[in-house]
Amino acid sequence: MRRRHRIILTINDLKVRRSTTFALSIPFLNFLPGTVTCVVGANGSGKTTLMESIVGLVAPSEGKVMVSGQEAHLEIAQVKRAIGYIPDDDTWIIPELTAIEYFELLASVQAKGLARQRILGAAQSLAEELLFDSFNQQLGSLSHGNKKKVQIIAGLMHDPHFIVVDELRNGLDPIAIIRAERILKIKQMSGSAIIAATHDLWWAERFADEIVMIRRGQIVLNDYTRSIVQNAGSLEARFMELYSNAV
Amino acid sequence: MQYKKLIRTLLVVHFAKDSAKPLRSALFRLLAAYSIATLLGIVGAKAVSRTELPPGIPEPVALAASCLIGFLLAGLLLLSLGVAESNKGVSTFQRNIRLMPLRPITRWSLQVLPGFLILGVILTPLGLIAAELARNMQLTPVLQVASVSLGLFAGQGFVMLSCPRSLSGKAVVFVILIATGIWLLEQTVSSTSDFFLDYGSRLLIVSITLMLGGFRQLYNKGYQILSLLGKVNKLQLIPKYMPVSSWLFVKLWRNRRTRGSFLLAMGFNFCLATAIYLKQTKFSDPADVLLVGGILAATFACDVRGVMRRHLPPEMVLLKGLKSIVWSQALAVWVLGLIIGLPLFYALNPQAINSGSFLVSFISMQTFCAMAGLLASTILVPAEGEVGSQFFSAAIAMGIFSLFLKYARLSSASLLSQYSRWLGASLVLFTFVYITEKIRRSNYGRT
Repeated sequence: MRRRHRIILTINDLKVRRSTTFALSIPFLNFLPGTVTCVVGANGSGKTTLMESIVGLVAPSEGKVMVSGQEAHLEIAQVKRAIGYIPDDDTWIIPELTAIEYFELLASVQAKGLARQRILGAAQSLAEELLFDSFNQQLGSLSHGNKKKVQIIAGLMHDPHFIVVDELRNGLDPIAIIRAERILKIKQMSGSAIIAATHDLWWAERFADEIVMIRRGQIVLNDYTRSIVQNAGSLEARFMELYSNAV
Repeated sequence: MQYKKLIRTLLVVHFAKDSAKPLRSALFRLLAAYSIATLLGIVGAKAVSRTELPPGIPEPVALAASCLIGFLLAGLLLLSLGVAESNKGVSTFQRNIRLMPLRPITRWSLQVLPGFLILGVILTPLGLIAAELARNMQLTPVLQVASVSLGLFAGQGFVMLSCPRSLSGKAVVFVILIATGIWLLEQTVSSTSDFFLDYGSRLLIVSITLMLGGFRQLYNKGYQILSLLGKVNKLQLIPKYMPVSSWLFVKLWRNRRTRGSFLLAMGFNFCLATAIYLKQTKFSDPADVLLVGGILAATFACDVRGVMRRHLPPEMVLLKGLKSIVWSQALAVWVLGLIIGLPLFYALNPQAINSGSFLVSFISMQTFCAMAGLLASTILVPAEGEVGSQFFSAAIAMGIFSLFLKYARLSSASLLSQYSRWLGASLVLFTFVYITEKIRRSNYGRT
């Protein structure tokens, strides 16, 4: 097993304003290597904003997202290499490129020489695991599920320390879901931290070690999954309790 | 390897949208654009070499004029392409760039390179003509070409400046800068004082050069991400006081790019009309000047189709189908095209011999130009941030316009015949728009 315990992702007093009515506000969050954290919440609660802040796509209005002491939103190559992002929507893939061209592009910006070949090899293995074989098809012409598979491969091929996943199961068939989960579990065991945003409480309860629940941009629950289940019976019950109290 | 792949992707994304063989298409389109530009440059230079030009224009004044022309052209083009918006970086490739471990200089280069390639297309004919002009007027050709280039890149730099941030704010400042530049140039030329002549030109060149600061700003700040999401729109989807059939007008107004494009075209036309009105400029045939309004309407129309998805837009499925969507687009570009042209029409109307025929002439020209822009927009469907597609759609619209002017033989035709030619050609263009959409609709899903 690889040792990655020195690399930690920390959120401190983070505030992201997206409109006059909505702001994400996270006082403190820590993501440790080898853990799976699921971020759950209702629609528009701020899950994707949190994900985008972690991968450095959104500059915080206040506070910081730090990856091993470096700010995530500054364009530092080291930080970018440490993070793998699997977005929810299709707008991230470049429709004109074929899958292989896309993977080659990503591999070439991640590393050179043998390391680049290794990343391409990893992409090949991930594709085999996910039963993806449309390498020579333009990404724009792929089905929604296959586009999702491409995004999973693109996010994991460089073996990042932090894997940020937005709705992993969206668009995938049952076999691909099982296989994608297996891949993520292997990555977790090898020391990567997995941060997943989802609406699927049943999946979050089964998959995550820790749960972060967000409501209107604020953290309303941050606890171990086991502890939540022991106290409330299920994550769904706890979710309903917190949300019904708030109404 | 890294740069090769990045540049290949950049070309494909900006210049070969939705093409089956993207790299080949991108290279072909660029090659075609540069070839046509070179050809235009050679033809222009030949025409200039045969023209009698006044000698004795001092070198600094000529340099300032070249610089100002470059600045004006680049600013006009890039502002109308809405590059300011794409610099906020919402295109797919730019999203990807943000996740890539790249050096700041690489990230910056990938943002400015599409603009450079497009400005290169303008610089080719402009440089050739400027060199020939300089030779003809006993000036230094190299310096003149350098001055035009400086103006062009300063225009791009201006568009990148973070303040003013909005496209409309930039347009206002741009118009003020150009007006001040022209005034300064006029003063310099008319002044007999060597002091003014020397320092006026220098001041103009230095002021324009300052705009290059936009490149530095983009390097320092622009490659960082502010937000990928737009502002939350709190307005009603279709306001109660508007009929539901006006949905496309609402959509065009809500869309930041089309709204900016409309305001920009309207703003330029308004400034031009004000200048004509204040200076009491007289024209032998005011109808010819109306063409400027037509061109502005066409550049706006080039953006219209891009507010919807290229293939099978939901509006087509959810509303009344293909015919309805094409009709709505035609109606929108026609009405908005007429509004864009109105300021110039009002400024020129007093000079017209017959107001009625001038009005018909205005309507028929605006209709044709709007349809030409809509056809170009329908063919390429330039989305936000696709600088190449936006540029090429504007080029197609201008191509249609130039071809019509060349082959319609308007000068020898009677007024009635002129109107019927403009309107007949508009109908043909509308039919092409419909056919293009129909082909795209029936080919959806086929590889």
